[in-house]
Amino acid sequence: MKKTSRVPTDAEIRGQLDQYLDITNAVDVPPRIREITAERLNDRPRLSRTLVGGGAVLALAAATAVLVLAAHQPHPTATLPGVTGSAVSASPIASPTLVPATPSASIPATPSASAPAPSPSLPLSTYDPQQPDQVALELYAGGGTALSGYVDCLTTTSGCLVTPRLMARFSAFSDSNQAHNAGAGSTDPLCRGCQDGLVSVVVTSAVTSATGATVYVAIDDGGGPWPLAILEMAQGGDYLVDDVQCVKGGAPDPQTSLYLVSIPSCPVADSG
Amino acid sequence: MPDVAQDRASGLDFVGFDMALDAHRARLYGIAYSILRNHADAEDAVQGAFLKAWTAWPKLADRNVAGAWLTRICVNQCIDHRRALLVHGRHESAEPPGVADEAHLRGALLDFDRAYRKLSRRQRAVLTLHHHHGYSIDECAGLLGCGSGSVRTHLARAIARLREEMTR
Repeated sequence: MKKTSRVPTDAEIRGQLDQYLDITNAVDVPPRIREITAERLNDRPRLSRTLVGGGAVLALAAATAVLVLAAHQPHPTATLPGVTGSAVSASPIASPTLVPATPSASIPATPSASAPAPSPSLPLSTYDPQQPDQVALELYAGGGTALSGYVDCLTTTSGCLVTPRLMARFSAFSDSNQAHNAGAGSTDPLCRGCQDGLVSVVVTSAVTSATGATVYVAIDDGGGPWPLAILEMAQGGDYLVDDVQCVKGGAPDPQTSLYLVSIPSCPVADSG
Repeated sequence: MPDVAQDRASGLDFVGFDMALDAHRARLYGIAYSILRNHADAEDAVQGAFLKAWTAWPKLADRNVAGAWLTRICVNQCIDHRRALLVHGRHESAEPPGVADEAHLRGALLDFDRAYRKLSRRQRAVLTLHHHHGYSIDECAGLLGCGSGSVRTHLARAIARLREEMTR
């Protein structure tokens, strides 16, 4: 890093930024990208072999991701580290051994000592739908859906633990965005302000009632955890996620419901 | 001669989609590379974006806004790209920039690059969209799916971080 004896001015920073972005935005398009056509995209199996390369491997790995998680871990210690923690492994033959969380996760993966040993090949879909905390965690890791955003929920609905109402909301949200020049790559509303994906999702508490449950989670993208309330409805003994709201004053804030027109990011700290 | 009518009739608008890709391919790759700062990741992200776009193409009612629509998909694909990397236990910070990635940078810009790499993906996205491609704050908000205030915050934090890293 270049050492400077004084603080650069905004103009100097912007000047360098302009030069820098001129260069980085003018890179040559690689042949692999130049050759993509609608016809080749339409032939996905062939594409996955000939074009996607590493991306196909990643997609396959995500589809076969294995959850090594204490399946019946009582809250508040149920955790779902997304990065290097102990919960998610990309290999379908992953060792059941819990791998220590290493890098920047601000919430370490620390399954309780009393938690049962994880199954050697416990797939993500073996969550217990009658456990609201597991449903909340499954929402973020289930079948890899959260790893590629909520939009995937629209195409892999069988893996989405959401009510028809929320599924419809997702669709409407997507369509609405398209009407405003947006599209399938929309920001994941389940993160509510996360950047660059999630480092961890931790269930902090859960409250059940006759009609459903509210699961409080702390999600972290590396910039500090912030609380979210996962509102679930009980249907036939199972729980389905119906809404995700910010937490204010220790309770869900209805003003931040996903059903509102404008979906705000949630503050890092509970502003209650 | 492309048969647009036949494509439309079959529900597979190959020609229209290819025209949109050709018009924006280079720009989208530049954006992806500016956000990810790695050719391999940029290629993966752009390919993923094109796949998503092709899937959603029939739902795009107004083809006149295809550019912004593709940009949004591409930007968000870049921001989400790390998620796939994380599943594999790879870390962006642990992946040193390739020689080829830096070969075109010289002197002070090489130092600037190291500062720029400290920014989050979203901060890089806002910088490149707003500063280089001329999108307004509100347009950036639409592309990123967040509020204008968030975009302003990302911009301010990005500049502050660059200043901090350049001074360090």
